[in-house]
Amino acid sequence: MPKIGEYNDITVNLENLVATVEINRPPHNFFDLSLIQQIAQAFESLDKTSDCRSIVLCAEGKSFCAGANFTDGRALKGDGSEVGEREGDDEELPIGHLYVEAVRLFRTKKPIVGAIQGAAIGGGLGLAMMPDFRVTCPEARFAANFTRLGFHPGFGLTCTLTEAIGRKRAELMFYTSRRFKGDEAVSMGMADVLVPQDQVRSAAIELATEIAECSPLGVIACRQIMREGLADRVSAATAKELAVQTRLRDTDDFAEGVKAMTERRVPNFKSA
Amino acid sequence: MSKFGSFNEIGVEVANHVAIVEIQRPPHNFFNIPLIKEIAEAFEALDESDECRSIVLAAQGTAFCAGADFSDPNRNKVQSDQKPGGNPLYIEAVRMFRTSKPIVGAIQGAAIGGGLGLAMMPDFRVTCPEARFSANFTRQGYHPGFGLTVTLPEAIGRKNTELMFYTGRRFKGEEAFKMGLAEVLVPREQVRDAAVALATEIAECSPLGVVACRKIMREGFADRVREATDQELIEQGILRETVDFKEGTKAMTERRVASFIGR
Repeated sequence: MPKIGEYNDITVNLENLVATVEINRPPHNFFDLSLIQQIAQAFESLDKTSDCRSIVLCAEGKSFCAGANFTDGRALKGDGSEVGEREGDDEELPIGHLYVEAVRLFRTKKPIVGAIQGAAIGGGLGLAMMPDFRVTCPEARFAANFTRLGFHPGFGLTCTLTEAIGRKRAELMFYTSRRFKGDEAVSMGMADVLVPQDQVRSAAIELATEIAECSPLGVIACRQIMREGLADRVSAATAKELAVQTRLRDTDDFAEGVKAMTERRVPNFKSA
Repeated sequence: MSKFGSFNEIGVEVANHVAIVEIQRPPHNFFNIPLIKEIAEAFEALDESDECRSIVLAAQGTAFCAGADFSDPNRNKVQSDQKPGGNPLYIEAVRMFRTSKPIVGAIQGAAIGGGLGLAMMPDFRVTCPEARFSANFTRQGYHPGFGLTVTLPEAIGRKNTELMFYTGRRFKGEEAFKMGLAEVLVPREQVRDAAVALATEIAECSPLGVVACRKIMREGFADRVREATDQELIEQGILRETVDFKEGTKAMTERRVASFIGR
């Protein structure tokens, strides 16, 4: 399979008109600004590659993406900043920059199939909901666990999750932070195909191949109509989410939520 | 469990960060303005209480709420007041949509007509096979109200809503669950406990995060409900003057299919 482009944390391959973009941060594939930026760059460059008609987004290791790494104190700092990794830049960048990169993912043209072979948690769920379709397995876990952390949903999920599974189900996920298994995720509409774990990637490639057999001009034009305004809605959603996240990051509840998560216990929140 | 506030039509108790607001007009819990007003007042008071993080709305008796109390002497006056945003019943109804804490409905029995409107106000619903869900307005020669033209399509989609409105059909708890009218289906005697369990799961999450998130998820919702009630009221006002409304009300009392003539 021919490899295209050079990236630090992802690998892009192209074969039979289908590109696979693989996240290479096993086992949990925690994301940061740099990772999201690399995925956006890959999608944008695949838009210009006529040999690519559809894309599979997949991940190496146990989790699809376990979100931002709140527990190592590195991914997000208490002062509302994220450690910048852009091209060796050591300066701290606000989380807002992360969402600018996230919105780029929603502005590219070619259909994307997510291969969700393991946990998609928090912001990782946000990344998992970006593709047009999702293939998953019973072992996968889907959770918007933000309120368990004393935090607020982000990565555009207040828009993407609501549009994919309906407002009632999105609210249930947000207000309870409950974890859903792969089969539940499929019956809720969070994923579109359920297969055994060892077939997730091949089933995703199969769906992407089926798309690639259709007229590329027709598919892209239709996707543009079907996703009309989506990137703008995601952008507006991230702005609102960011405002609340910034406020909550300074609360005692957020510190307690992160601590409770590390200690694997129910947090003792105080509304402050 | 501690009693909270003092009300005539409802009882409010708070335990383990979860409030239970119980409608106490058994067996059918027909609603009138004082009832809706007290529920709105309870929700607003609970918004101010740090002890409360989520709310269960439940009812005593066989029905959850079988609709409007037609014996209420204020009813005709209420229904004839068509000034936008000025209807006394709907002023109280819309207040319920403006409060900030998540609400779980424990729908243990019939939720009919305006009672369905009340049942669709909470964020989530727990129900049982014995419950009945019906927007029976058109069976009565009347028009859906209580904001249902907004709350129902936003919960179950337009097609399911149209089916309910145009047929006036009654749906059982299992069907309601499949259609998205309720999120949890349990045996009848477990409805209240399951609603408290869901409310407790919410109460374990960060209260600031949940309230902030709910504000975003419900953005504009109360305003959409208010506009819907204005529109519904206009249609209801027109229909109340028709021969069909009289026939529909009569047929309902006599438990037969109405003979409508389109006037």
